[in-house]
Amino acid sequence: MNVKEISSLLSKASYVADDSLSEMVWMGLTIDRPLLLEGEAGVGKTAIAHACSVGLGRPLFRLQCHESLDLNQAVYEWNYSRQLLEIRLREAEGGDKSHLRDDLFSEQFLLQRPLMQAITSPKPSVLLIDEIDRADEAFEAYLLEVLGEFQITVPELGTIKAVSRPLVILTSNGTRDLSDALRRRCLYHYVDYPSIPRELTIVQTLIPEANLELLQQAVMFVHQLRKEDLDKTPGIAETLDWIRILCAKNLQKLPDDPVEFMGTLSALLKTRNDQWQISNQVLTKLMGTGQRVGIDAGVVESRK
Amino acid sequence: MSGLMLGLWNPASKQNPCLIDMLDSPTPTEEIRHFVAYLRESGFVIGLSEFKAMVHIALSAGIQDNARIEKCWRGIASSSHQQWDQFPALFEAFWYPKKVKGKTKSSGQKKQGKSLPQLIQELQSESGSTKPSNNGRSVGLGSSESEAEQAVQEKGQGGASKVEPLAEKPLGDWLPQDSQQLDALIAPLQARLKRKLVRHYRRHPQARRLDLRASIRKAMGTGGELIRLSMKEPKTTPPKIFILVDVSKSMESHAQFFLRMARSFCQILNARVFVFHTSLIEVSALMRRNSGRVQEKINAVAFGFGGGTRIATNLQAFLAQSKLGPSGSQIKGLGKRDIVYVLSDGYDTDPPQQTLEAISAIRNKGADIFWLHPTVDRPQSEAILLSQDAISGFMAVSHLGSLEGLVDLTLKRKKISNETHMRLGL
Repeated sequence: MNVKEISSLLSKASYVADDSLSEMVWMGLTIDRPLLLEGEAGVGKTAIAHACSVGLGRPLFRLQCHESLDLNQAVYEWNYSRQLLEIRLREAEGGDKSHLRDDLFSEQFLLQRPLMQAITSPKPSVLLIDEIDRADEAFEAYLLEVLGEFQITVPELGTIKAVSRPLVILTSNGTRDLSDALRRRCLYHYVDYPSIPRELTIVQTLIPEANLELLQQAVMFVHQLRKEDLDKTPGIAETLDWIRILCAKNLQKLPDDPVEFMGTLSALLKTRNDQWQISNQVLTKLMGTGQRVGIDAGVVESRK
Repeated sequence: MSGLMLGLWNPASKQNPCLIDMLDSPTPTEEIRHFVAYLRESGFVIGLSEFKAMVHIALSAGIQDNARIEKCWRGIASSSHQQWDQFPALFEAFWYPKKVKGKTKSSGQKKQGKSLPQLIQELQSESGSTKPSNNGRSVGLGSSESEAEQAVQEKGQGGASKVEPLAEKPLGDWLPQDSQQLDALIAPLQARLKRKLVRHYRRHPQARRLDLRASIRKAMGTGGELIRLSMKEPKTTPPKIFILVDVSKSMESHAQFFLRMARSFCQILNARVFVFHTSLIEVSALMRRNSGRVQEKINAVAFGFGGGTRIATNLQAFLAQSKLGPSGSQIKGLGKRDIVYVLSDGYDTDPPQQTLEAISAIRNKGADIFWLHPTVDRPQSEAILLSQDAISGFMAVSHLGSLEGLVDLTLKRKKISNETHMRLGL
């Protein structure tokens, strides 16, 4: 599979990837290395895993990391209730109990969690380890074995090696510095905010029913808004939400009066400080400069 | 090591190449190795597996365009956002030195006179390799010869040094880009500050204390058998740090440096930052933003203020304001073992007795207050002289080197005397 094919498969899965990201997926598949995607929230880090799963026709296993994540939630857990039930049943039956200990710690009493599911999946899968920076360092250290060797050691069963190597995608928002050991095992990609033409293609792909003029104006407006000094810069997810709201209002283009769409900006501005900072005057300025930016980016024709 | 690398990377090396022969070969892998060494000099952490991956990708991709190699190698070599941004410039500087104009050469490494497409072609043909000729160049990542040669090239001439003595730079001459040096001096404080014990517990699998209630609740799922135990440990929290920066007229030349210092405190230690002259305002939200405009705003804050100083009034206002969160809601304010740094020259227009009362009120909360002053000597204003016993410590901050004593001052609560400052060369 080459890069163009990957790019095309991702497009079919409604993900418009730039060349660099498609290359990264290709490399991940070629040399069996996990991908570490960093970037601001809402730029499409998690979505790439879903797109890879759909595009490549692989099952997706998702592990959402959080502070108290432990091996029981991430890798495997013994099914204690079932083990107890088995003991009681054997006691009631009064049969041979010599193999009970071995039987209790066999795979039928093992509850597989996402990492184990991905490793034991007979079909190659996509493993998404989302927001790895939220997990603690002990879990990160554990991941080194899984990501480096694609194997999991269960003391009672031994080492389980991957039947098929999954495409592993780790995402991070940079809330904590990841260890060098983990970084070194991954291919790194920084997912930045998209350029105007790419963002326009993304919104056109995902909201095909929207008017083109509205899309152009909205994308250019968001692009300008990102240049403001905001607490939370709007990502692609916010742009899509905002345009969906504008479409629901049956708008064919952005209204000239900023007051009219001020209420819809709650989809873009997510903190009180940001909402306070973007006044009517700032909105008017952003709308005014948006046209020029669009012409420069080649997505809007200049009026001669 | 080098021989091992070459033996490993080359998929066509069914007959392993002789180590001695390969060591002196000017092959494309050698060029890649030089590039890897060049990246390492720029702070990239590239090991054997990354090097192998770079060669593997170059071989298997069937690459025709250089842009594609750059994209692929960028993902392999980079491991942070900073390196991700840095890579294209380094790639161009190494492979296309003629294109790079008006920039300082960042390494002693020399371009070997071959373009990247040529090397890729050679690399592909090398897969079925014949023994390459020897031009006497040394091979190997960080081989001793090349390192020695490079060390000679990087030596300054006539004792001149490329390193700017930032540590000795006066505050007034500081540039915004020098602020990274501040972070390095403040970061150790984060690790060494003793955490405060709070009256809550947190669950942790490695903790020693049994959380009986949670364990019994868990046991409900296993028929009442205590199989999965829940453990807990006392919860701790880092002490809160507050920075108060004097931006009055008398502090005009120092305020910008102190604000940058406050920004480092804010970003590294999550400190709350206030600025004051005749009134007090919190600027923590502004300090936390990591945008290019922050410096402009810091300058604007310092510029907008100026005039008299009312330290006592502002310290009292600070006590009240510390209990208010960013949205105006009530939060836990200054408390036991919290730390307040006042960055001021100590000149006050309030009555000296009032300053003493304000400082004592802060100390009565169980917090420490440290006075960082831009003057070599301890402030001689009447207010400070009267309050000096209530202040936990004084420290002169005249240049970056002065901050080296900050950790000791804060942890040992040692009042660094003027004599000590003189001895340290402050």
